[in-house]
Amino acid sequence: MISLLIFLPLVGALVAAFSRHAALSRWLTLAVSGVATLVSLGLWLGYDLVAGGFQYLQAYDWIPSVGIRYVVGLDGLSLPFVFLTALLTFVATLTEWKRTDSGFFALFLLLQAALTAVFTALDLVLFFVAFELVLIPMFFIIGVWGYDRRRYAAVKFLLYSLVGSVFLFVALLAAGFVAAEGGVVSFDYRDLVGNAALAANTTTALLICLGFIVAFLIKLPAFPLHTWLPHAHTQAPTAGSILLAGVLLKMGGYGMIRFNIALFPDAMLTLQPLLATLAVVGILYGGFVALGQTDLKQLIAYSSVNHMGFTLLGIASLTAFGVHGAVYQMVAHGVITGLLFMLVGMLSVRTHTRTIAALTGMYTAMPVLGGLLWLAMLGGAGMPGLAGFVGEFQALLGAFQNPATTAFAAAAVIGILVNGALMLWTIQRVLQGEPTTQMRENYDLEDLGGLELAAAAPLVFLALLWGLWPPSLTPFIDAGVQPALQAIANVSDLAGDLAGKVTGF
Amino acid sequence: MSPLSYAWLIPLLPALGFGVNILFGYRLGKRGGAYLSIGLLLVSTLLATALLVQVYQAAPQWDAHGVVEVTEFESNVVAPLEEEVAGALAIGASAGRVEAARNDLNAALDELHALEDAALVRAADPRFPFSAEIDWLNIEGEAGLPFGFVLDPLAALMVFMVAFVSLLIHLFSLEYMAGEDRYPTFFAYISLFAAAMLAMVMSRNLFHVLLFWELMGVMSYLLIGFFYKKTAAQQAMKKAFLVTKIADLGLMLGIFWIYREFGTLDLLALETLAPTVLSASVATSIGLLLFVGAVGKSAQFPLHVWLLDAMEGPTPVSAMIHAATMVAAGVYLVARTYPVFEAGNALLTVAWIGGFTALFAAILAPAFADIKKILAWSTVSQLGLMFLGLGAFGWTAALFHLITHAFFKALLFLCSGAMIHGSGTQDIFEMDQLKKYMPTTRWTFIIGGLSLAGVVPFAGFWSKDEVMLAVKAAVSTQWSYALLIVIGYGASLLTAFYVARAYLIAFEQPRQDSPWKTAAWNEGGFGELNMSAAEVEADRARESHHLHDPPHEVGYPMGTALWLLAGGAVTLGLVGSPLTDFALQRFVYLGAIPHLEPISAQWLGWVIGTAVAFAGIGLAYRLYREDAASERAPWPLVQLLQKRFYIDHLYYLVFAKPLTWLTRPVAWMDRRLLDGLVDAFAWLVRVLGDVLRRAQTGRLEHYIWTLAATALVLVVALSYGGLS
Repeated sequence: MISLLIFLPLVGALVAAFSRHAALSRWLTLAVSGVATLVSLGLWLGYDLVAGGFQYLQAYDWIPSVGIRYVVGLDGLSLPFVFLTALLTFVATLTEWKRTDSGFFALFLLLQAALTAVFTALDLVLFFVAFELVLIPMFFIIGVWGYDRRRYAAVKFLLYSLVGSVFLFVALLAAGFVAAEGGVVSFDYRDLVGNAALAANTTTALLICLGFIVAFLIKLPAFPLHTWLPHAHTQAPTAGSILLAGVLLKMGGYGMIRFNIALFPDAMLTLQPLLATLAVVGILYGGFVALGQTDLKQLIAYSSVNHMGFTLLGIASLTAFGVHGAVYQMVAHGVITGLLFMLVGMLSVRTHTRTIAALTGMYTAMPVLGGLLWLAMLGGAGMPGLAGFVGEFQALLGAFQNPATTAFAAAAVIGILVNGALMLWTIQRVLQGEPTTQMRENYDLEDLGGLELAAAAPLVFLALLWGLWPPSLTPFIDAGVQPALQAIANVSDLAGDLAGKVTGF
Repeated sequence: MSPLSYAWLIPLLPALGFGVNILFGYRLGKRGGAYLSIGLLLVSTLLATALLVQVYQAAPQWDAHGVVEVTEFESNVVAPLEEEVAGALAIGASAGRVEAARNDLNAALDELHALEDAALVRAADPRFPFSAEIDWLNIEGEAGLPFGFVLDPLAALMVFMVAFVSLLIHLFSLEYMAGEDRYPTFFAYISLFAAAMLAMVMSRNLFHVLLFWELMGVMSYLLIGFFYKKTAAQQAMKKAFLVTKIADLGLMLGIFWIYREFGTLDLLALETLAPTVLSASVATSIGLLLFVGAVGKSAQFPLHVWLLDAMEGPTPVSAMIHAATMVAAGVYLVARTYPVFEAGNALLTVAWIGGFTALFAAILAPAFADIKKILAWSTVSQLGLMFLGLGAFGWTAALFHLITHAFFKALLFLCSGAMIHGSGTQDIFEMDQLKKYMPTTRWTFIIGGLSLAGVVPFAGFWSKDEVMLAVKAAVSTQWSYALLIVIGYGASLLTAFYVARAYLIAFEQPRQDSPWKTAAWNEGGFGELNMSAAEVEADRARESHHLHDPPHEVGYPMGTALWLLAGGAVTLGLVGSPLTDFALQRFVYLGAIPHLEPISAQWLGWVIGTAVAFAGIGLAYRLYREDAASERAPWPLVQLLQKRFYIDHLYYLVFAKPLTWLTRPVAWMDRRLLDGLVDAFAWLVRVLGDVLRRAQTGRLEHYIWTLAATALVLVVALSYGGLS
């Protein structure tokens, strides 16, 4: 089933690429991503929580001489992201329903295939191939269909990512060989988890861990490696931004939990202060820089730096709550910021501008679009009842729990305030007040149509569901992060200390 | 039937009202959504009444005099013995001495339990306090965050008060908001506002207390900015949200810290764990952090600045914020987490912040001409009294005052709404002898005013008296409480004065040219700092500020709401008075906190309280009776008061302005400096590349193809290498 999720879009991409009928490609993309959404939802619901671990496994030899295999599987950590990949591709297709290029849709399906492979690959080399494959469609989506400075943004995105990839590639090869300790080399994640040589407190392990983390920090993105993001987001077409914010960034956080913590717990303990520092700076700095933006899309891009800072903080805390919060925050951000980019896209189609100063009174002009945008912005500010609130709280609680990161948590809460100020000020400038007559004449201020509502509805629903009913998400995260937490527990007494505090209640 | 079987409906029904109104409100006809909201809330109120009755029946019943004996014995005998043990341990006395002191203490404790048993008229139902929880956020190896309700006397009282007062405010809004286009939106927001408060006071887990607390913050933000086209409303809503958010950061840290110490956020666990697990210093720190949250939400000094600007919202919203929800949440939070406060030394700070705020706001109130702003200051001041009570170990007293205040303040705000509705102005000087035209409003305002002023036998008198008694009793623990008695009575004197002044000018005096006219706009708020003259002008044009001549009386829905609340403002005090043997106090009595004072000493408090109230009213009457000369133009001190001591200005200039100013340079820096470095590096690489390899075309496509080809070659090579 997992291979279906990967190869169905791949085949679809090939068909779309050679199709001369844009309508066919469009419907094909919609159908493929729709089927993939349902299949991944089915896999999610069918996941056996009691058994846990990786399920729906498929393993074939690929390059046996060096131990490289095709291994894919799903656990609670990857399920939400595989689902989000399919769903966001689906709604992004709806959002871009008026596009008339087959190539655009072909690249989208290719992107979907690659992203699904990233989150399901259990062989490190396969993971790397998928990780790289993601870059290519995104590069063209930005570079060809973006706004006026698209080429610059696309090249920056590609080169920045490739720098990370170099580190990642060297590191994962090294991980395979170091773990083998002269024996049979395997890049199978399941063989590497719990490997003593990697988990040990050695310089080698630390260096390998660093190689992984550089690539993931760039993806996340963490301060100061974030400067590709505003360009990419501002220049990308709406659907590109949705996928970029919704899923691409999550490759970073996913990788850190899947690989860094689970494989190199001791090295992560060493890196903890560094990561926590980067997280807090990202939270505060990202929010503050966002405040100074004049372009609405760029503002949201910078707010992502703030949001993903909470993810990094949760990871850096190395506590159960923190890691849980990191995943929760990523899922929440995928849905809410995905929605934000979608709505801003819908807005700019009507106004042909994203300059904040030129967008006053949009709520009065278009109450449905305005109302949804208002909701999404409040969601971005961590409104309770939407998913972001639960994620932020867990990440911060986890960071506060661990004495090593308590001070960082105390500083990071200020980020909530900055973020709140950011979203409220933006609401005031974009939504409130009244549009001028000149705006009414020049802009096509027609409220959302049925297709657009259909595209936004699933995201609103999920933001509410995960904000009000964590039992629909947390148990899966819990199953998924156990290897990482177990690895930490093996090298640190912290978990025991914290568990000792749990009372009989 | 256990109340748990229906209690969950109490917050859910108004939340449903929100959902229906926000999605379909505009299709339900002009008033359909409003009727639905009111109907649902009516059911909630009935359920809340049933809940209160059931909890009352299940709660242990104490004998009033027995409880006094218990508390006296506790403070006179047990407490000194406890100190003796602690002292003996501290100086490292011999084991024998410590043991002897311990034995004395244990004997005294046995006697205390015997007294408690004697005071217990009826034992608690075994299911009391009703509580239940379900899995919500479970994490392996952690207590996680289960979702649950706890239905104890505190929760039951709050739920009843919130539901009942909210219902009347809804009813009032039916008529008051009738002219608004966004009628369904208004009812949607205000329903969810009530639902959030109801859910908060029932929540068993501190996380959910925070969740609903924040939700209330969002709803108040939306309601304060209901007239979002006005720049002043935009500023006010943002200010309210951010100022309370600053405080929420403290609350969040306090909650984190509680989890770190206890490993759970269960409020029931908190009660048993706080006295045993926490060290005094940690308990003090946590207490102060939680209190920071309460200070913001309850608009206490120095975070009081949002509440005055919040008057930009429609008047029923002000009534909601000031009576049933929002500001009451802060007091509730401290009351709910009281065991933490008792375990540390944060209570003195609570008392002083409360006492100071009570006086501070009462000094400012007489300098305002806008009826809503006078009442807003009054809320700040009365909440200060509640915190003073909490800080002086007067747990039940503060709670009692919270309940009575909710009724008379909701009443006064709705009266002010009626006055504004009827006369077309918010400036009391522009109101023309309203007593001639608005009898219902007049008499209900008098009832609310007398209750606020603390005149016997109105509700406010009994509860304020209890607070002052608690402060008096606390003097024995710390001398500075003596000063707080003076401050408390000073605030009461001014309270009686400003409410009488507002009444006399609005209802008795004929219309006059407001000497305060210039100040009536943006009285000292953010608005006059960061609004351009054009924006102020545009706002004024939107207000359609025209006086009604003659003023008109309220209609049926508004009148009903006023009289029902007035009924509460008259009678509610009795449940906590000696006339009912302190029924309320005995109901919420926790057994650990000295709430009651010997009845014999009370007559002095009554005399002082009444004298102070009459002094204030008399002074106002002297200055503002019907035929009094028009008020003089504001003199300098009054101007200082109208500018709210320039505290808002200070915050604006020190925090808001520099921060907003700084964002642009920082954004520029990120773009040019940080990103510039990256570009410079890329440029360097390219120059080097050009020098080294002239053959390159520099075309983007070539790079991509090279990349793809390399990747392909690599994969192929590895594949074949693997096969051979």
